[in-house]
Amino acid sequence: MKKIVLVVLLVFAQFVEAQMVELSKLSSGKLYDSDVIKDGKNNIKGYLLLFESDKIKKETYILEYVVLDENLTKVTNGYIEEMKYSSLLLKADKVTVDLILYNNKLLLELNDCTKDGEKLFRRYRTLDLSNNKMSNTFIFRNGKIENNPEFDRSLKNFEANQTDKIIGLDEVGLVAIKEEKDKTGKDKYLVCLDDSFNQKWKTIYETSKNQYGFKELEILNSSNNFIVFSNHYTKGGYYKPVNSVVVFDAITGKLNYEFLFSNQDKYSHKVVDSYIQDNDMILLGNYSKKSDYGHINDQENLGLFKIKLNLKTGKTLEEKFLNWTELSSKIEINKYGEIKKEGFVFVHDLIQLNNGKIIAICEAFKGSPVTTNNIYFLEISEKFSFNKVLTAEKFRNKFPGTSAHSNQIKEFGAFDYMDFQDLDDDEFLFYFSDNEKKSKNRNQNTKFGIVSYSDEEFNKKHLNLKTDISTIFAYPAKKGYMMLIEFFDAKNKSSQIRLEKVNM
Amino acid sequence: MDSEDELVFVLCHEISHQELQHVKKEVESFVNLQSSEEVVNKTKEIKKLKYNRSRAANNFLLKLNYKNYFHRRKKEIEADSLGFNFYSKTNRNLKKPITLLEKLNESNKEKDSLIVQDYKALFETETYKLKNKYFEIEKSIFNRYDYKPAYQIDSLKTHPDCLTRIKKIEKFIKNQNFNSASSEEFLELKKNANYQNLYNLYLSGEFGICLYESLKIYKKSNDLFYKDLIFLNLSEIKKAKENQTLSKHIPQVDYIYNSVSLNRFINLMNNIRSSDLEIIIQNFK
Repeated sequence: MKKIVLVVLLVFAQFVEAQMVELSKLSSGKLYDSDVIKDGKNNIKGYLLLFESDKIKKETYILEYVVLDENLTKVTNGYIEEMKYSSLLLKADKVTVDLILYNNKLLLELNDCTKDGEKLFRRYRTLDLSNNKMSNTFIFRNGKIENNPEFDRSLKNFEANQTDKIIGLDEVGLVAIKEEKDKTGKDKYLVCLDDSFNQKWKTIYETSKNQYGFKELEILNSSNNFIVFSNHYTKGGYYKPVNSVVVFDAITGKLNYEFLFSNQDKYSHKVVDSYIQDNDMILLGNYSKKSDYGHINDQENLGLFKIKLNLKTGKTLEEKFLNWTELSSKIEINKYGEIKKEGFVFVHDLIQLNNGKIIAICEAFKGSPVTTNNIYFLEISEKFSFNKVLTAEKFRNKFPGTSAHSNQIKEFGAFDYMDFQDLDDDEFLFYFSDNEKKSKNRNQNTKFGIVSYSDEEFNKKHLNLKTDISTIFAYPAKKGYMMLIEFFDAKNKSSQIRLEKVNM
Repeated sequence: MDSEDELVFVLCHEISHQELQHVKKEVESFVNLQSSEEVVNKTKEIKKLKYNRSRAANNFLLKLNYKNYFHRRKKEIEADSLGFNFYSKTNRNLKKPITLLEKLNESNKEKDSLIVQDYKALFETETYKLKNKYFEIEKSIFNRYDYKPAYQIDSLKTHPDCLTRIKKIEKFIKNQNFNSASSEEFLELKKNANYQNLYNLYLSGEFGICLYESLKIYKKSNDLFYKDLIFLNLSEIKKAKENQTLSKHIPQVDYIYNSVSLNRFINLMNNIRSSDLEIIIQNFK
């Protein structure tokens, strides 16, 4: 999504007219980066754009940030001073921004970024949406917050400018994840901070490696009572074939338990989506035959799983597996998730509905050469069996001379599935592009697909946005809307950005 | 505009701009500025800067703009002054320029609105009812809108504020006054102007605003002209929805600049299904 939105926002600097916002007037600076502001239901609530405004001394710049609401109305703006690394050998091209919305605040992760996309000198700020006040820069280092740290881009001070990862969790606050060895030692721990950066709790979750290796946590979900991480063990710098889910008490920080997926000597598991319902958690994911590094084995993908856990005790309340073979009466798929003539399935999303059903969004692909094919929308019953399938046929993108694991294809944005919008009441919209990637052929560059799920039925719609005078690109926008960006052939006519309600 | 006198004052004001050669002087001034020594030297100076170049350029540009807009506002006062002089020779009510400027001062405020009940009264029939969800508005996560542009908005206004203009004109009003009534031609002109304004919106593709304003008038007057206009605009809106081009013809929701009533209208037009629109269109055929 990040990549898609980046493309969207790169054209924000151009003029749009009529009832549409004149985004070029947001800032006179050069656009560095932007990100969407999403709520807990995956819906876009706004945008933040970052511009270089001025260079004020060596490696030091004034940046302007501009916040837009979901209708592209300007909410607030301001100026911040930031450094940007520059040396003869390595030069940061821009400063990037990644956003997390939590407790009516935005957590901004800022990074110097080279032309190759390498990110350096991670640091943070928060923007309080109750008063639109931007905080000073802060990092978490040696077990404590350093507010307004003195930045220095010389290599001898590289260590002093590093930070542990900080995440913002709704109803919890900021949580720093200390993983690397520092002055406080090798222990890995979490520190929860209040708005004034005072420590609410600290919990050490690892003092030394266990039989599987070292933990590497990634946030999965949270509520006012629980924080849930997925964990992938590492050893000697390599991932091990052991995955787990680690649950902490959000109020005290206490480690509640670690849930290890069963039969890891035979299978690899990947949690695709998770849902907290009171004291229970539902893990929805994909499993395959065991791979050496614990990732999904693309060529021996076995199916889906649903595991329900009690968040307090870790007791398994439900554990179900659904093999691809059970789908073979509806589509030509074999036991390893290979669809005839199309490739293996990659599971993008698993959405739990209020009525107990699940929607799975899968895209057929080949890893070598990287090829993406049709998208399959599956309705799964409350009893965890395949109900119905909708096949969304789309352009087959092939990248000759490439080879990649599905995780990398996803990370590089090569899949065509874009995102979904939750319209409430178990209604959803799903977006995908139907274009030849990087094509200059307008006929292929204007197709966009939308699938709706309403009243327990899928419907698909292919939009051909071809016009005689322009090229139009479409992206998901605020709930129920898509963003259309129109580039006109006439050089003197500026691009237009508009929000269009999706009519299914 | 409510009287012929107000229209006459507008004409006097515009004639004064011409008499005082404001447009010609504006163009000359712009051309001279481009090649002025000050601009050329300052540009060279800014180009040489290693740091803070953008700030220096912006400051200089703003200074030029502030100066330019200050002169433009001054010219409006001059046109008011000479215009009032012309106007006072027409033996008309000397207080009417004041009432005109008072109306201009309030012109951005929406005078009427459309509430859910209005839409129900206008669109519903015995067999067709609007769905409540068509009026639902998604809540924004933002509570405070305080975007500050890099320039001072007041310094870039082309016209002085109306209250300043009123005060200046009031100084010229003496006891001598005339009462004059509007002619039949003026009343006819005014009525046609109202029709024409809305019809122009329709012709320029502003179907949303044209429909919105037509509905506000039609709910009170039942004038057939507005009924026809409602039919035409609804038909175009339905077509635009089907072609995914509706946003080219209706404004966007805007919590700052739009009234609650206008946002409600925009939301309704976006949310309503084409099949529902077709039923409503038939009622206005």
